[in-house]
Amino acid sequence: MTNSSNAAGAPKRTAVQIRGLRKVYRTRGRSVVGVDHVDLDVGAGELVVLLGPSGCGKTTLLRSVAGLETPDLGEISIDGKLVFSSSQKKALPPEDRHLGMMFQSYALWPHMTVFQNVSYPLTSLEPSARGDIKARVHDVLTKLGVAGFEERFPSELSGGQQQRVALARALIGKPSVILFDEPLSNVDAKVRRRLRQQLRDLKQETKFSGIYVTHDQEEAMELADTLAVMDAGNIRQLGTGREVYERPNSLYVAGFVGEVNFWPAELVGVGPHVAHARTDFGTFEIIGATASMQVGQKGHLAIRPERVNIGAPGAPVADPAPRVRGKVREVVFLGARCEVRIELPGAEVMAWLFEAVSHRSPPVAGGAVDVIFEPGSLQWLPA
Amino acid sequence: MTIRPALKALLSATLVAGFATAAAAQAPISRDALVKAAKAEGKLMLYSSSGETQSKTILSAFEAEFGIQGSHLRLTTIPLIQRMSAEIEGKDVQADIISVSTTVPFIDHPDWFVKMTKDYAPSLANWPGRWVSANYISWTADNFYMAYNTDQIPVGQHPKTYADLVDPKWKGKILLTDPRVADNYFGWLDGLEKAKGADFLRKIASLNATLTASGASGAQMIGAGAFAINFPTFPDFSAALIEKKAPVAVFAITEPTLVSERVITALTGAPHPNAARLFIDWIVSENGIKAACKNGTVAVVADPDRKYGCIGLKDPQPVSYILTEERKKQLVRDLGLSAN
Amino acid sequence: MTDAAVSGVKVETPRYRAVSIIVVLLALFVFAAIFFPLGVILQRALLPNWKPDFALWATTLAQPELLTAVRNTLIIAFVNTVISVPLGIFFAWLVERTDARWGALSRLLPVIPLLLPPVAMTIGWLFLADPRAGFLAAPMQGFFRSIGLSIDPSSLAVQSWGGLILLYVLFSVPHVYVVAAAAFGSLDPSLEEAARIFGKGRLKCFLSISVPAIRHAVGSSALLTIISSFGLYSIPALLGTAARIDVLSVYIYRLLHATYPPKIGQAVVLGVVMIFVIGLLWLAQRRIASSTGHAQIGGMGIRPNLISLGGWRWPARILLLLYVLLTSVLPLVALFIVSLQPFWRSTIVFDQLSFANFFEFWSDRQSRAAIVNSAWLAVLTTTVVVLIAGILSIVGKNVGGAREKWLGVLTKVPSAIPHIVFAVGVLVAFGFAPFFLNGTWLIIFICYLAVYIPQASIAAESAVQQVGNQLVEASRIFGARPGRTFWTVQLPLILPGLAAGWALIFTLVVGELNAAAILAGPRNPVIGYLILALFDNGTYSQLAALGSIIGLVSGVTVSIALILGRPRFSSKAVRADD
Repeated sequence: MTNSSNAAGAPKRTAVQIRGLRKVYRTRGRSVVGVDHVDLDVGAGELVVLLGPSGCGKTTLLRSVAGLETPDLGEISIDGKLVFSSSQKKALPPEDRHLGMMFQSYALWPHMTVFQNVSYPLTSLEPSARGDIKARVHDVLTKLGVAGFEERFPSELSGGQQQRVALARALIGKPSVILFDEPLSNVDAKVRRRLRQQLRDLKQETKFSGIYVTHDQEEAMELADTLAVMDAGNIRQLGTGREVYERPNSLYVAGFVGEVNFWPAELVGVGPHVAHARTDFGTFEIIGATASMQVGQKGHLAIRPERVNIGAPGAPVADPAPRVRGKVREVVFLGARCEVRIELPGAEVMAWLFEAVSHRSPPVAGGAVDVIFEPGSLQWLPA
Repeated sequence: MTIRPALKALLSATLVAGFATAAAAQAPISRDALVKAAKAEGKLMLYSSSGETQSKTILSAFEAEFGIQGSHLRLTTIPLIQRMSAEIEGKDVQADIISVSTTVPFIDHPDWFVKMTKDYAPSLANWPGRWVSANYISWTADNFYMAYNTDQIPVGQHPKTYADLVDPKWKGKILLTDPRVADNYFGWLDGLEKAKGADFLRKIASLNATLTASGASGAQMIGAGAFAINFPTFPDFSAALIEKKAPVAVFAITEPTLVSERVITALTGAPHPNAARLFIDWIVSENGIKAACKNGTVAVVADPDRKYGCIGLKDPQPVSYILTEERKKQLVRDLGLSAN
Repeated sequence: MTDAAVSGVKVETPRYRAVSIIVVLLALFVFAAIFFPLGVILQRALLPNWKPDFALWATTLAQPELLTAVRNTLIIAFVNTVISVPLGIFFAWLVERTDARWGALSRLLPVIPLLLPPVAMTIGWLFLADPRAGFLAAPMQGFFRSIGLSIDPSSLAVQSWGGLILLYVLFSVPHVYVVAAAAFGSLDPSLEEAARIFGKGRLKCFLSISVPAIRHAVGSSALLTIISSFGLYSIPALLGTAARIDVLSVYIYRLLHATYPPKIGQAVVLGVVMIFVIGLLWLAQRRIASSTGHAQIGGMGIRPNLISLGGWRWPARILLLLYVLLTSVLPLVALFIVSLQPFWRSTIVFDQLSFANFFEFWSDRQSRAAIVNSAWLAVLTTTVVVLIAGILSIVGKNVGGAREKWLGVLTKVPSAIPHIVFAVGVLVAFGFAPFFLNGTWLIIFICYLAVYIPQASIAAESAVQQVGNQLVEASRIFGARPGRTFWTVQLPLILPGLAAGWALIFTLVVGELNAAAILAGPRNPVIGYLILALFDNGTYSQLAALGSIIGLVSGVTVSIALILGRPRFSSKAVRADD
């Protein structure tokens, strides 16, 4: 993908700059592409979340920044300092990159106390840069709500406490950038939500820059200043969480970030602002045509389920909106919303109804309904 | 023997001509001058496969007479020679004197050892000429023994000849030293077969004797009463037990009288050449023979008539240490030990 | 980790280079200690005059006796592995993972047979179970007579297939135990807890969770068992000969000791064949061990929760005690009684018992020097060997790939060469110009370093595999140089495994005989030299006394090593889960 500046706000300087990064693994004669020609900038105080399924290269990218992997091609700078360059044959080892990191397994050293674990990054520094180690450890532990556990061993803490100790260790050295390698995947849902909240608060407070790897899209949306959706070693889309969610540039991204209805379609008309796409159950208008759209192009028509509404057959609506007649197949009550699956001619659509839960009587399976697509919500996703 | 080239290489790879000149016959030296020079060196290192006690007894007698402090390295024949060879090759000779139960290295490496002449050691004049070779002397000729448990066999009622040993009444009571463990046991087997025929070996086999891996462990088993008789063995193995009053006695088996030959010589590169020379001269002298026989466990070849307290053997015939592989296999098979 | 081979980009900082240089020098030193002597031996034996001697190979391999010896050795190796590995792992699990343990003492119980050199353990068993002169012989026969059975005593002899395998198993179980116990000790018990939560029985949990979780240790201990099955000499020499069971080690011993000139060529040919066999076994166990993820110390709290055995707790303890009593205490007692006797006899005459044999050692200056020096030499050698093996294993894991494989295979090579052959190589290589180490402690040290690096590296590899990568990566991320990472993270975490290896190798070094024959002497006496002398010319009582002294020294040392080296991941021994 192309180089993109931060969409959330212009950063004063870049914490991390990645250019043309490529890493291929060769094992037993086979090569597997880890990351391929990736460019990425992380601004100061910005948290970039790399989102994608396992094997998409997000971890390779993170580890390349950390210095735990040596890429084949490209350049990486941290805080304006070149830490890796294939052309200059330069690669600083991890310990010279001034980083913080949270590992999936916490990676707390089991033979050290909490104090020894957390003070470790400080004792690695030059003596002059260490400051009052005791006070700094106490500060950061207090901030994270785990003060008083200094003399305990990690095995004597609960999962959540260990998590916070690991975070304290990542923060204490005031690193240029903090790397997060799926740090919340090992705790239960409740603790995870609490820790995410805590992480957001901490970021407000300490303005750390970071790269955060996860496969959990909810977590990604919640934490990201900038979201990078990755696939097969590439960044498929880069933007704020909202941009990526509302304007996915591919079916892959749309499908990975939230639920989406999509149908095979072909463009039958492209105007300056509006295009038309034909599906098995009708032709629909797409607002916001782009230069790349051409008549005859094949792709998908997509819409988020919360943008799909239903009404009684033929019932009038305030705005003229695209609608299709269908038959309710299934209604699932999910608490905050109602999920309705409707059969269309040669297709199916899923609608999330929020009002149905509180106000109206829900639709009944087997009944005929009109499926109404919110105006401007239908999107064209090229193949 | 396909092994020889390999071994030759191992033993002689870095052998230097320097030793060869040293191996030339030594000029005579006056007794007083030799003693003085030896005392000046003050030390002597003996490499010997004899029993610990035997070496200690001899060295202390030597020290008592000349004030030369002797020390010794005691290992079985093969490791001892390997070590000596490596040291000679490395030009770091530690041993002054070597004594082992094989003649092969002396034949293979004549230049490693001093020529045994009367000029070198005048006392050799008294040593039977038959027992003096170019660069070593045959020192003792030790009968093959049996050890027996005196609780199980009253003294005097023990078998005395090989023919006595194969009496079926000993079935299940005999511990046979595995002849495959050492050359001199192979030689014993060879001598026995030559004297009594292969059928005799088969008779031994029919006793269903239990095997023991060494004469040393055999002696212990006899002392503990696990078996009544162990053969072939040497008195050295039982000496410590007998001293501690274990119910063990040894007896030299006869008909035939088979003996194992022990040789002794000095090294050309000896770190204490004069002490070594004095020692050789002394060991073949009356005092030396007495010292060797003090423990009463060996038969010095120069004392067939027990003048000096040795076990006297008249006209001993040493068994051969050099047998072909085929011969060894045949002997072992006749003894019922062959594989499969 | 960094893979410069693929990228062509080398990580270069000056301080990094210093560490690499140290590691490379260390590896060179070790490989010099191994391969210089080995090269000397191989060249002289296999390439006399630099021409291959194919006739030697043919002669060596065409001996029918060799076939028998190989067959018997394979049977012993197989049966020994099949019995020892499960037994050792089961005991390790009982002691490390269940509440059958009680106190630190129980950790040492299964290690007891390790404390005696094999020769002392074997004669201890002879004293106990010889069918005619053993302490148990008369009571056993009396017992059988009283119940009306007439049994030929020799049918119960320890000199039999059964006795032989019993002794091999006794020797091997502690090896398996210490390696497995170290792995269990650092295992994340949440795995087992999860299994228990899902309703698996205790035994099933042991079989389907605990054992696979330490599969690397299982593989390593199996390899150790096989290697020692190939190499053990004292047991088959004393018991196998009597039972007419020839094995490879005795066969090779005869090649080297029976005839002058010794058949070094044949022994080396067999050694080369064994190098290949052991190399292949190592690769196979490595493959099995790494095929699927085994559990690691991950850095997510290791809780020292023990599995409750419930009603099985006491039966398990009794089983353990019974095992230790029958296999270790009885022969030890027998050994000790004989050491007090003037000579070995099956009847105990109380007014003849004395410490005379012990005083004899103490009064002899050379014996005293040998014991004291051996102990120091063993401590030093073992520490260095284990430390080097630890460093090389860590480096091996870091570099990965083919280089790790070669490092692994090459460090196993000495295990295939008979000690006496290797020692001759060491003497020729380092004894004289330009090194002049003949008669010094250093040459024994070098020889033991090379000879025991296989065992040490097997134990260290198992420990290293047990440490999760992220713990090491975390250290580097948080600014620690490779040196600091090694000392503060990697070494402490593999310490339990290294301590296990230390205990194991210490006992092997103290009881080593064959290299001592070539390298030790009046100037540098060691215990092995004493054992040899006593074995050839002393009484078994003196040997038993020496064995008891060694047992005592090893017992104290090994206990200290295992207690100091145990994993300490909590401030209190056991804490309730929160």
